Amino acid sequence: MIFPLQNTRSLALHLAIAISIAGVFLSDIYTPLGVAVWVMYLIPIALSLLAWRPQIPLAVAAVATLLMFATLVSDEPGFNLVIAQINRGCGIFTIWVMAIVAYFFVKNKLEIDLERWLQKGQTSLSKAMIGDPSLENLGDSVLKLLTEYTGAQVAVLFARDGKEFRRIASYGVPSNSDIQNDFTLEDGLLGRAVKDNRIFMLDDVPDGYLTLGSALGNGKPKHLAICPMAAEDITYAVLEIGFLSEVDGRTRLLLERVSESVAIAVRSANYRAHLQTLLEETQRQSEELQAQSEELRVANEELEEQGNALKETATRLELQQAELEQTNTQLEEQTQQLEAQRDDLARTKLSLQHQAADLERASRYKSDFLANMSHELRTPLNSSLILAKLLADNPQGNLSEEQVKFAKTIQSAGNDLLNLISDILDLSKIEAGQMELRLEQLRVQKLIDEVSRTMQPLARQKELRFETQIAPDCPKIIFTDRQRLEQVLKNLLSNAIKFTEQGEVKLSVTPLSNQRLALAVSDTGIGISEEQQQIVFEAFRQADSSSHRKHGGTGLGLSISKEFSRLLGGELRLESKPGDGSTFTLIIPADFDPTASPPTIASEESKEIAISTKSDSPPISEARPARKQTEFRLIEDDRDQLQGTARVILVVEDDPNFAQILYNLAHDTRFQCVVANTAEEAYAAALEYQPSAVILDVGLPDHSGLSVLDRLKNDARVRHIPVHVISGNDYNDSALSLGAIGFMLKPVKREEIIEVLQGLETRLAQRMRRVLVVEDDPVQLDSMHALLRSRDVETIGVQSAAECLEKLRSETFDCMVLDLTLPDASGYSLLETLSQEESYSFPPVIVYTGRDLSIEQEQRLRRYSSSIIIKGAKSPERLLDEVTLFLHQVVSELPPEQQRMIEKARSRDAALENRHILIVEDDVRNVFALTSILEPCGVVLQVARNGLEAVAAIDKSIAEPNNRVDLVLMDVMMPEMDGISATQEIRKRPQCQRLPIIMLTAKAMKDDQQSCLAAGANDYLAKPLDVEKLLSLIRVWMPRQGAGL
Amino acid sequence: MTITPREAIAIGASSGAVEAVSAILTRLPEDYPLPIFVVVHVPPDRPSALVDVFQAKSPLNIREAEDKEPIEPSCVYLAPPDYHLMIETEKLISLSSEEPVHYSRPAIDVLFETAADAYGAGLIGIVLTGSNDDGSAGLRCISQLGGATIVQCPNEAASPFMPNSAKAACPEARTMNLEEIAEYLLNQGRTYD
Amino acid sequence: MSDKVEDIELRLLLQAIFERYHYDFRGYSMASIKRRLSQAKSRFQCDTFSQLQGRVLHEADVLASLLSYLTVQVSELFRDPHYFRVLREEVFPHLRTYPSLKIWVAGCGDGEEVYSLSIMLREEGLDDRTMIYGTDVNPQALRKAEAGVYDLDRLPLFTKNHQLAGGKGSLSDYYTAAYGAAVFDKSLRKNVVFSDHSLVSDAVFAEVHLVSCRNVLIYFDRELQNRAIGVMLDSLIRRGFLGLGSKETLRFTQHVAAFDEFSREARVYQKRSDP
Repeated sequence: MIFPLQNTRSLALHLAIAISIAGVFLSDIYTPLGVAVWVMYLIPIALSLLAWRPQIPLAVAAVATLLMFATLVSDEPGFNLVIAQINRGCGIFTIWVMAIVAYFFVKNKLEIDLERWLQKGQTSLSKAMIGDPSLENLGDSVLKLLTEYTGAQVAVLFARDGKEFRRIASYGVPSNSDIQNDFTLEDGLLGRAVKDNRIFMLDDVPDGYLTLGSALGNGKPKHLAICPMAAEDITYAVLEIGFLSEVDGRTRLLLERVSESVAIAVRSANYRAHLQTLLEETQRQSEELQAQSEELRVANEELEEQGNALKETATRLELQQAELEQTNTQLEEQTQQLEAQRDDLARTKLSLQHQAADLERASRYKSDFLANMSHELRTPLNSSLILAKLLADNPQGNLSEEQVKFAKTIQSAGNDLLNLISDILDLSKIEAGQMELRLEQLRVQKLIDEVSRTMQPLARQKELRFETQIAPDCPKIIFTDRQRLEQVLKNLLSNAIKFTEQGEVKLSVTPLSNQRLALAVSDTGIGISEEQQQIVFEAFRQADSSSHRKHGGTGLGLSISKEFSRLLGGELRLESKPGDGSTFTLIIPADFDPTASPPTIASEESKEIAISTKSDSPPISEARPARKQTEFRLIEDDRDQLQGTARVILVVEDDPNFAQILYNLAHDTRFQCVVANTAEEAYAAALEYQPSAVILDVGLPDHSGLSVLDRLKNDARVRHIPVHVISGNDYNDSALSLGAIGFMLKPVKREEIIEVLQGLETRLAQRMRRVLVVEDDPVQLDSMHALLRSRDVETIGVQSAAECLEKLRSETFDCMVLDLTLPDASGYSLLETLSQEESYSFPPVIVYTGRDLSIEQEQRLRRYSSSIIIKGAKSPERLLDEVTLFLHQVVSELPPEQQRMIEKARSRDAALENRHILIVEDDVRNVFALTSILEPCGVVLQVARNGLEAVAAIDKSIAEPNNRVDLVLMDVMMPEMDGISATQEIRKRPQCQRLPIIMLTAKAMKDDQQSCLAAGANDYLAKPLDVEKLLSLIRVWMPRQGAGL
Repeated sequence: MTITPREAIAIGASSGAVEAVSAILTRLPEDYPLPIFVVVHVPPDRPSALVDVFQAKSPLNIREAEDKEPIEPSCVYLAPPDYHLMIETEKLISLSSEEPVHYSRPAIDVLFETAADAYGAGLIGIVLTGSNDDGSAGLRCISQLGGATIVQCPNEAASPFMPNSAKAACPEARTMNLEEIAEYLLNQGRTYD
Repeated sequence: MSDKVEDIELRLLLQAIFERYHYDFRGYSMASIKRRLSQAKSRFQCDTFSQLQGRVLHEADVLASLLSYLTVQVSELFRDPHYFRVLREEVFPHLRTYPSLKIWVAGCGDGEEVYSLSIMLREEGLDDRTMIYGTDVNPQALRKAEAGVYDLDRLPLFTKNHQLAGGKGSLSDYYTAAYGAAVFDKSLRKNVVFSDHSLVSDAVFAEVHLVSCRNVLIYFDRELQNRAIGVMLDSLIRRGFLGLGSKETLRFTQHVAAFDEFSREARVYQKRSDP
């Protein structure tokens, strides 16, 4: 390393040495030999001490030696040559000594200098690396220092980063040059340098040296040093440094010297960086921890709060619990008291019931007794009557006038007695249920004539007009018990005549709705006051006991008439005003069916017959106690203003307060309410008003409410009415087993009653549907019950065809589910029986079978059932679906009987009667539809399921006249052979040229229809089929009878 | 030149579509007024998860188009696998199983052509990254009917073939990178208000 | 309606086809029809639809090729295997409760779906009691369907679909392959009626338990969809099933209330009980 200044200085020094040598030499030549000018040679030697090369003093000494010999030889001999020679020899020796000293001196000086340089470099590097610089800063300062200190041009520093080395700093590298950013141990010289851990020197790097893998791009450094920097045998950094001039030894030395400290510094920087990262990481984690701990704290607090709240709740609950326990104890005590009371009540009730039963028994004994007694009475009376008559007739004339009169009195009193006895007998018979009816066809005209023949004389006796009148639209013949009817009419008429002093008595017959007949007896007599209207019908009571005495009679006549009219399925009504006369109206069915109920009285009919026999007046207490309480009204109810719109509920309750409560609640829930207070009245009212529901008390004055329940449930006319039972005793089980829908134990809360009423209302909104399930397997039957039964669906299961027929004969069902396999008959034959015999109700049928069906079987079934279900995974779902569907349809549609009537009524079509039509159609349902249209018209049908079958059927018809075909209905889309081809095929037969073929097509285009005609069809009809169009088309094309094929 | 109110956007993309379409959809706000139809070449034989992928990144209402669905604003309609997505003139969506176009069903051309017919100048057609030439004919068609046309900057596209091809077929199309496209769409949405 | 000249021409062309040949495409989805007729237009080297109209009116041959443009026949055996799996596993158990069954494949195209159903019914033991109606407006397609011959190279896909659809045996049990084609077993067609029927103009022809109408409605506009679904609704029995294509929905039709969604995924609907 030669600095320019040093160069100049050494040049000057060398010059000075040369000049001094030359000067000494010249002086030596010119001075005589003995003059020791040569001593001056010490000057250049001394000068050479200043030189930078240790060889210079030696060279100077050598030159001086030579020159001293030269002057010795060339100088003229003078002085003492020997001495001169000895002098000079000493001189040379001295010079050489001096030179050697100088040599060592210079050498030493050089070494010190180098050391100082290196020391300085190391120190400044250490200074530069002082502090805690980052890796990059460290690299920058190291590079800056080293390049400047060593006079290098460019330098790059790589630091170890795991397995590879990454560039951390560069110096003097142009920014656009793409020097490599990193390298691995396998990469070029850099890698090798690391591996060998030695400095590589590249001298005279050729221009294309990049191929060597050096990183110093497009610069011009001619020399390159690659210096791995290691500490403890681990290379931490690699320095690549480029020089323009050759790298001298001391630079290399410096690099070697600093390598370790740089390596350590890099390592430290790395550690620091790592520490920094760790520190940051720790900080982050600590932040996170803090956040988490904060969350925890919040959660904790929340928990604590919740804990507190829980504690609070728990405390509250404990308190409540304690309170509840107290209340419970209290309640228990009360319950015990209540139970005691209830037991008392029950005991009382029981004894009352016993008494009631005793009473009833007594009453029946009485009736029986009377019925028997009357006979016993009548027999002796009869004889006394006959005898009295004989006496009165006085055939021998041996009695005085007075005696005859006595006899007549005996006879008359006996007659009265007899009438009374007959009446009592009748009444007791009715009450004892012994009255028998003799029903017969009866001409109304004849009946009236008969009655008027008897009555006319009586009226004439009292000079009253007697008229009869039969409305022209009245049925000519009625079916009833003539004797009883006559009895009633005669009774009414005789009463009328009896109570009428002047004016007229009229008997008129008019027809009413519902095939009933009104026979009205009106008079212009004294009339009956409103209060008394009620009583006149009651046995043993009369409007005025005085009238009895005046007019005679037993007073039982009206009671008996009323009972008779009931027996005849009718009723007796009274309309009267005192002074204006009275009208008694007997309403009876024209065609009396003893099994049917007495017809219910609809409110409109009540208006039709102005005033009913019932009156709102309370009973007038009479000398004789009321035998029956039937008409006793505890509270006002709605029976006289019933309206068709709202449903009626029948409340059977003898406690007026509770009855009133029920009445009000019924109104609140939009029911009309009729209140009955005895068992008898309850049953009668149920029949009469046909309520939507009954609320029934068990404890009733006459019979137990349970007997009412039993009677209601055994009477087909009222069986369907839901009954809810209320009682003070627990009859839950018996009530429900008798058919009640619910039971409430008294005392009941208002809310409970409301609930019951609302329940009834919703129940009524959907009336109970009944499904008959015919299934021989009991397990299946059970599961079907479970599947189908619901709040408003009742299922009745039977296991054989016989049972099924039995059920259908006696009851009606909304729908029937039929398994085809039955023990006693096949499902098919069962269905056929049902469809043919009128005596069975035939509900819609759902066939539910485990077998696959052939097309023929399905077709057979389709006639009776529109839904056929094959049992399988999804069949219960579908069964439920289909049943639901039918049950809903029933509501909207006409009853099946009515439908059948309509179907029958459809007149058989003369043009089609007994004509043969071939239906060619593959859709079973369509076939069924067509069948149901055409068969009622009298058409004889054949069915073919595709074109091939159709052609076969036609061929057969040609061969056998019995199977003739008059007309073909041909579907177009069919399997095997379609309608077009079939028609063409049929037309190929000469006998079939004129056979009418009507095609049924779903195609709408004129073209498609043209193709039907082109195939040989006579006409076509577009689907969906219009029944009227189809029929008229068939009529049009049907050949005239006799024309044949 | 008058500003045509934009009515709808049609986007076609193939390879690299997920990133590219996401990049645009992410930048549009929830109440972005225009409906957006997107055809991505999805495989025909399995349900596409694109709706979920896009929905995770975008506030817009993203759905797979259904047949005869009425078109609503702020909705992104994706063509379902194995069906072409078409726009009817009465602004309804139609699907179709016609033959694949450019071996693809759904095809971008089909969407672009029918949407161009339905919206005319109101349509913005965008061809993004992809490696076949589906969308080129469609984009030209949009341009001919007055719609705005954009291709993704091929340098940026994961696969530059499709934008290049579209640009060649429709030289007037503007070249934009995804960010610019989103910016442009935002502006167009604003003029719509 | 658009008043662009091209659209007017298009409508006139469809009107012409209807009046001349009674093929009614007037209620089809215009976007699709226009695309396909544009292809046909260039194929017949016509500049405008009006020119094409002229040719169609005067050359009956042109119609036949036009039909193949107008009716789209793209299907495969057991296309959307999931749909068939749902039919097999969820719908068939219901159908099994009927003594006899009818299935209507509306728009059967080349018959792929009919054969798929026929194979599945055979596998489920329902083939004997089931009648399948395959209907389409394209007579060429019906002829192909009746033949039951498909390119052999489509069979690998068919086989895969069949397996995915829960196929019980091997598909090869049902076809014979020769000369680059596979012909499906004749017995599969025993209870099949292929017939010309148009959902656009024709009426109900039978009462069916299942209507499978897949990727047909998408070619109809809303009004026509309403009509077509109405026809299917009328022909379905109460609680009958309707299967649609995987992207078709009743949501935008007026009959949506008449059906329950039976399988949302597979687009199978069930007719409601109440009308």
